[in-house]
Amino acid sequence: MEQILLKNVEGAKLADINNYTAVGGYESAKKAITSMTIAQIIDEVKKSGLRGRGGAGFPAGMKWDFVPKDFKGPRYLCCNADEGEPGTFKDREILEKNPHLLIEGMIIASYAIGAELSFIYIRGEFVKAANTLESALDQARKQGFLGERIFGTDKKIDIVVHRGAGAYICGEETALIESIEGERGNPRVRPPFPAVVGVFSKPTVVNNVETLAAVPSIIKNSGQWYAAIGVPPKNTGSKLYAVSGHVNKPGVYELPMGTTLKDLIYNYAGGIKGNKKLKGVIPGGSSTPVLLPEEIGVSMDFDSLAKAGSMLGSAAVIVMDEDVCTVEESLRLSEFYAHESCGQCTPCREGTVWMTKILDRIEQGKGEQGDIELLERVSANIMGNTLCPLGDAAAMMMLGFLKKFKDEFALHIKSGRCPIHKK
Amino acid sequence: MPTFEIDGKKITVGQGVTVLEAARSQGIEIPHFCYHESFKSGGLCRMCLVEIEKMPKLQTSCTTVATEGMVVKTTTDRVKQARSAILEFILTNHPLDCPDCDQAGECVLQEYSHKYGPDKSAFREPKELREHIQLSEHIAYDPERCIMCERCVRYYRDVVGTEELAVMQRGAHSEITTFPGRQLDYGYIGNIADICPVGALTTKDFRFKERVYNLRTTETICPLCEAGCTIYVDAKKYTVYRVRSRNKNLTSLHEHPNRNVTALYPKVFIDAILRSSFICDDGRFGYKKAIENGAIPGPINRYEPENRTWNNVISLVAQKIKQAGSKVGGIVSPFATNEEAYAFLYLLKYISGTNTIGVIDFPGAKEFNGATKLQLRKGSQSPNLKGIEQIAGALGIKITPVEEVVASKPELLYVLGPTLNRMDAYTEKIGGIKFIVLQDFKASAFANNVHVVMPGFNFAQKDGTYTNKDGKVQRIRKAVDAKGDARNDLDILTDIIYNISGKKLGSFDNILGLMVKEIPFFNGADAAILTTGINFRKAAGRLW
Ligand SMILES: Cc1cc2nc3c(=O)[nH]c(=O)nc-3n(C[C@H](O)[C@H](O)[C@H](O)COP(=O)(O)O)c2cc1C
Ligand code: SF4
Ligand code: SF4
Ligand code: SF4
Ligand code: FES
Repeated sequence: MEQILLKNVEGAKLADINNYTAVGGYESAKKAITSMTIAQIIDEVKKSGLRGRGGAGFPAGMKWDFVPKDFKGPRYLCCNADEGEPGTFKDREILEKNPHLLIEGMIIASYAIGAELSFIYIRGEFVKAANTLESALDQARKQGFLGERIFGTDKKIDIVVHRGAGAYICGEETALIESIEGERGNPRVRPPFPAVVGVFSKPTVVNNVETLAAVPSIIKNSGQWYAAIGVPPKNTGSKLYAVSGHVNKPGVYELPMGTTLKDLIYNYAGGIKGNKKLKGVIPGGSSTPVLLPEEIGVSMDFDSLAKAGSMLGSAAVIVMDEDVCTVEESLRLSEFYAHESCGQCTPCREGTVWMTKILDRIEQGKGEQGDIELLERVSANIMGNTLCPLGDAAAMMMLGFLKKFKDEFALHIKSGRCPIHKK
Repeated sequence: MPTFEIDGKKITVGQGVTVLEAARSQGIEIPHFCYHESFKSGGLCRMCLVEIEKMPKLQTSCTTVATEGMVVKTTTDRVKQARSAILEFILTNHPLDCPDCDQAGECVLQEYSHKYGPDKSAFREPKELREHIQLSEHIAYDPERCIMCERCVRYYRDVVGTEELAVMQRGAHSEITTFPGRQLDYGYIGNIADICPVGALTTKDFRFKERVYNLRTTETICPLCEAGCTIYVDAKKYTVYRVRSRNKNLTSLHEHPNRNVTALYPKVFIDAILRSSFICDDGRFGYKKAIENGAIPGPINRYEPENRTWNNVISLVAQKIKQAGSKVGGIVSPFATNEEAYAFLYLLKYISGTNTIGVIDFPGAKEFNGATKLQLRKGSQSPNLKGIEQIAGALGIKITPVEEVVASKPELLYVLGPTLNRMDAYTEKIGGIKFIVLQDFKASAFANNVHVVMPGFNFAQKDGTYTNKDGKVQRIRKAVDAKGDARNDLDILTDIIYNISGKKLGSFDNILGLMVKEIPFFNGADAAILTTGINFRKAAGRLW
């Protein structure tokens, strides 16, 4: 498969608009703006089968179509560049090395939903990426691709960069909207959904960086072309997989949707470091349930991973070798969720802290009879009862570890110490 | 108007009514912490989860709008399990210091734990301790007890509009706080102690003073300005311990004063009424002004010092009034009830033939902070000025300034208190008056200079009605007993009238009955409906 998102990024300095246009950049945006109707664009994106790359895999064309057509007044597009999910570093690759691709995708998407102003909500720690984006936006404005009368038409589209302040929860789309409005980044109750009541109460679409960056190729080559890549009809296109952990070649790999996990780890990422044994893999960012070595034949797409009891999520593959203690690993993640919980709703605020305290005890060799059942119960009581999916994510992670590594938890409790760290 | 089903019952509600509000209107209790009728719900506490057919997850009933054909279940095992789970979560880091928490006995968390909570908690980890914080001189905040329902934050945002409170920190470290270095502005802070469902916000006035279950609650009216806000007085025997707004804190449905109205009336209307059920800080913390100690133990007779029984004093006053004929000067306090005012004016008009009366002047009720959306204060600090004006008008009696009554040098001057020291300025000027009678509950410089003092009751000791600035007639009720040999002011007046004329005016409800018949303004009022002040019965174009 020819790369779509990361093509030419090494060496070609695509952050410079001249290099980007030299390889056909902004042609798709021009085509969309000057020769396509909104309906045609949405139709093409629907045909492509493009699903959201932010985690939930919601069809992008359908999301755009939800924006009320008859709404008078502004609508907004938000590019979610918060990239906070542990293990995830794929969007940064686009932001730093191919910013114009994202901007081009955003011009098309803005036009499709009728937005004249769009936001890139970027994670606070991404200082370099934010600077790269700012200068890329300036370049695009100078070329007449952004601002008033773009591509010589009477259309007006502009994009501003909004930097976050380092909260994972601000990646959740409604918290992101609150944060853009200048409020504390707390998720909102849904309904109403952002497509109807979003930024400043106006219809809003929130899309992930990778989702938007896929749009120019669809407009250029057709939805049908995109839909032929990957595992049609429902898991199409190319996908960025961010592989980290105990592999020889960690990094971001752009491959067809549906590449097997095994291929990814042993072929592309060069296998396990030091030839150790594989213990488990988190396939889609910290929130997705862990898989065992015997499950890595799974195809890395939305539906196959769901069938395997996990999720594609942000496609951040975290590889753990035989020396990893799964109690410690789940403790670390649990601490992360407790720390990042916004604290608005009871089950997540209290449940994540409780979970962390129990795990900490077990890891320190002070586990008690019944702790495993208690962890299961606490997770189950969080699951489905929270205001936003962060609580669910914590519970899902926990239940995944308990299901796959129950013996290791039991051994910690029984022997009164961590059997791996031999404390 | 969607029709939907809840626990097997089909009901029709107004457009936009939430499942929780609809359930309430039907007497179905859905437990909740963060929902409050006075402001928008945030779906935070997750206590109100219910099952709705065709929706895979449980839904928060406080944010879910009832729609046509919806089927809601509030008592399934799943719902019960979720409630119990939420309570178990809340209690994980709750100090459970009920034995020294002021809220114990009226705490929603206690109530729900009994009704819906797990029998025991599986939480075995050490709890985190946190220090209490003074949010203002009047309000203390105990973060340990806070359940983060954010009612207080939303009250300041949506009701007061000054956004003085906010959540700081994140997750389990979250805390309610003011802007750094600022305290809450005096004016409307006390209400947050009422709306806090737990003991996280307490008033200095009441903190550690008394257990709420030792107190008797009386529904009455704030006497500190002409707005006449509805209040609760919590008291024991002779002592008032606390004044609260009647904005419901205990969320039990049965206690909700307008439990049938949410579905029937437009939202703005309800909002206005609910908002008006908050009170100001003067009303909450300043009640002591209206009931201060320094009570007069029994009748004082400086005219015939040996005759100090009530019978002596009453016949003396009656005899003196008869002798003075139409040269009786009357002064009334706007703290007197409608019934007292009526009896007093009846005495002046029909027995003495006096056609003017002085009303003691109290200063204006200032608004605290022009920036607040909530502005309750009205008129002057005279709770029943309007009532007295109406009754005087109906009896053809003219109201004149107190100076004029004093300066006219009547044969006999009769002052119906409480004077609350507002007559002290006249102590010098009453020199030449031959006989001065005072009814008051409290000693004062003025009281030291009159011939007869008949000790009466303060507003918390008696029954009657007040008419507020808007013309709403409302019931005040006896909340505490009077010490010593004081008597109900109305009884004193009717005894004197009986002694002179043989006419029996009767008790306060007889007199209210008389006024309803004789005074057009009171048309449609009756003692039974004058309870909450937010009754929806319309009479003569007014809300009673
Ligand atoms: C706690 C939490 C954090 C999230 N963080 C991100 C993020 O960093 N980036 C992202 O694109 N989506 C994130 N999401 C998902 C977004 O809410 C949203 O679904 C997504 O941005 C939609 O874009 P898409 O349709 O293109 O996937 C997060 C969701 C949750 C619940
Ligand atoms: S689930 Fe957690 S992060 Fe989401 S709203 Fe509730 S407390 Fe906040
Ligand atoms: S102080 Fe009381 S009202 Fe405010 S958030 Fe805490 S529990 Fe709720
Ligand atoms: S506004 Fe007036 S009546 Fe209301 S509480 Fe304050 S002083 Fe009392
Ligand atoms: S009352 Fe509904 S979530 Fe709190």
